[in-house]
Amino acid sequence: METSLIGFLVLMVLIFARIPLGVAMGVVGVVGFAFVQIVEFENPRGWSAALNMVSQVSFETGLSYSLSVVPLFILMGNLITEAGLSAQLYRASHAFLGHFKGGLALATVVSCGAFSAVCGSSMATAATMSKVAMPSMRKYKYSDGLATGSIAAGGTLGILIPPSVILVIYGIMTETDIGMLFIAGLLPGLLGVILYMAAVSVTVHLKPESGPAVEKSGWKERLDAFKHVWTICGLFIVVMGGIYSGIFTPTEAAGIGASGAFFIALLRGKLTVNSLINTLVSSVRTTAMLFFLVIGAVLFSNFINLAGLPDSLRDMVMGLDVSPVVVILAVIAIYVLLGCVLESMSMILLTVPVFYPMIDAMGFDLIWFGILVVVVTEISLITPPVGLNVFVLKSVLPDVKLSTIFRGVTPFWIADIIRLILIATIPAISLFLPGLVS
Amino acid sequence: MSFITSLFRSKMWVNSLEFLFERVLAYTAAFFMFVMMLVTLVDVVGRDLFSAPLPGGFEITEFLLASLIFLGLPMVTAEKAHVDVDLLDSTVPMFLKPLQNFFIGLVNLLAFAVLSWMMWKFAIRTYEYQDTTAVLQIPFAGLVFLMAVCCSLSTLALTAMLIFKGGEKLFNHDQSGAE
Repeated sequence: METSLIGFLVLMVLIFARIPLGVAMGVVGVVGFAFVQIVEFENPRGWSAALNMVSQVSFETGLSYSLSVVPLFILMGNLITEAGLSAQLYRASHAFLGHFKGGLALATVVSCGAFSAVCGSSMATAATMSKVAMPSMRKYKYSDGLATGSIAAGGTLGILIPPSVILVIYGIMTETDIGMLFIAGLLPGLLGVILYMAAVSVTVHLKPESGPAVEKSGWKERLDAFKHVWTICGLFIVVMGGIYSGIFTPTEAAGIGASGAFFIALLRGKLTVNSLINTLVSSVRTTAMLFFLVIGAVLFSNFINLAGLPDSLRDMVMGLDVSPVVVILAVIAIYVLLGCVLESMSMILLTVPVFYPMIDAMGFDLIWFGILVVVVTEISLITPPVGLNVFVLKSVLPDVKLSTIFRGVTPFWIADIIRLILIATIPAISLFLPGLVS
Repeated sequence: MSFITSLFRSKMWVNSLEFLFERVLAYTAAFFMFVMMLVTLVDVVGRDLFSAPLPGGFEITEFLLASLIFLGLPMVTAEKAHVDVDLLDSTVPMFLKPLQNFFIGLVNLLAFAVLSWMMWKFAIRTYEYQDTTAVLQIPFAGLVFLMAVCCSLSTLALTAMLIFKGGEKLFNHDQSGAE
């Protein structure tokens, strides 16, 4: 156990020296693996075993069929963005909600939630929605804080409402059914939308000038706006319905979803050869980045597994005779702290292999734990100082101060904490729908 | 001897690597990504509507996935787009920045050099064993050689970054967009 703790310490030093995470995890993983082989198992060929692991892991990760769901969902989200559907989504929610106090912020939250249903990444959701929601909130004199806060927070829903890249990775690491995880993410995602809407209402109640109501749209205009949205609904129903009914595996669903998004973009006349190539290349870029991270993480977790950290942690916690609630609270606290400094995917890749044997042994449901982990990760996306979604907004809107965005996000952060408590104390929120399927 | 002297100019390296990474490799990877999408579509539609799945669709997907990841790796590496934590950046004094960049570049270079070396060893072993996939009998060796080449190109990019740019990114344009 000491070896793995030293490993973690060295890893943290390397990460804060700004070594790329994939490289840092890989280097510590390989050196640590060799060290444990040589010192603890007295294997003289420890170095060669550790080095051979590098090519083996790279090869197996690259050729992993279950991971092919990741690039396909990334592609689907990018193609939907290219199709310009985010603007239509916003227009529709604007038509239905705009006349309420803070209505445009409500519309932002709802369209973020809807966009998350076809996009598996939080940063992509925030970046896309900021381009369509921000101009109209500015036009109607919404305060920058409420406007940016609702986009940054609404964007976090991207990784909870299926499809979700993070849930795929979690499912592969813990050998949990990815389809079940997706289905489990639905209600907590919906709860997120509702609580965010409540956060908007409270904000405009306290400061009415931050989100004035706009003129009411007529039903003709509403129906007109709504008819463009059916494509997104249709795509979501095909993808999730296919997984739900067992017609598709998640990989197949991702392929169908990406193809569907491609044809939607094509039919809407938004796709030129150039923009298609750019979309594909940008998906390749994200995929390569992500898989390099995964390869590093697998190397690192091979090391800590060999050093026995997850098992000794499990035995130690089981031996302590503390209440499971305390353990879950401690785990959540660790995630919130780590979330302050680490990017979300790296945090999941680093911590889940350490914790899940313990969580499993204590009799908790791994699907529920997965949802809990993703919700904590969502919180980390809007928590200072790293809060990646906040930085996404900052890069799209350079004239808004970082402190303004963080202040604007605070009511949503509180809503997130309430949601976290609800999901932690009432497992049925996550497990009700998966229970219906199986 | 203009060719020899041009070897010492950064421009020649940067331009040719940029063309290779951002056009040749990236467009091939983009094509593979598109084919991967179509393969799944054809497989599912064939199976569910015509009870005729694509034979070995599973294996084709795996091969395309592995190729596109590694084809994209040199581009991501040369753009310094790998995930890192810049939280403490504001606390590093200005005069230490070049040193820090050099150090990071060196660690990256060593890590990628080891990765490339191991991939080449693995490729030669795969070639000697003549391993193939189960259904379509596609030999693994070609794919592993491709992986090894791409890792080596990333290593080359890191070397060029260290020599010509002090560890900064190789290409100066900003293509990363909103991801």
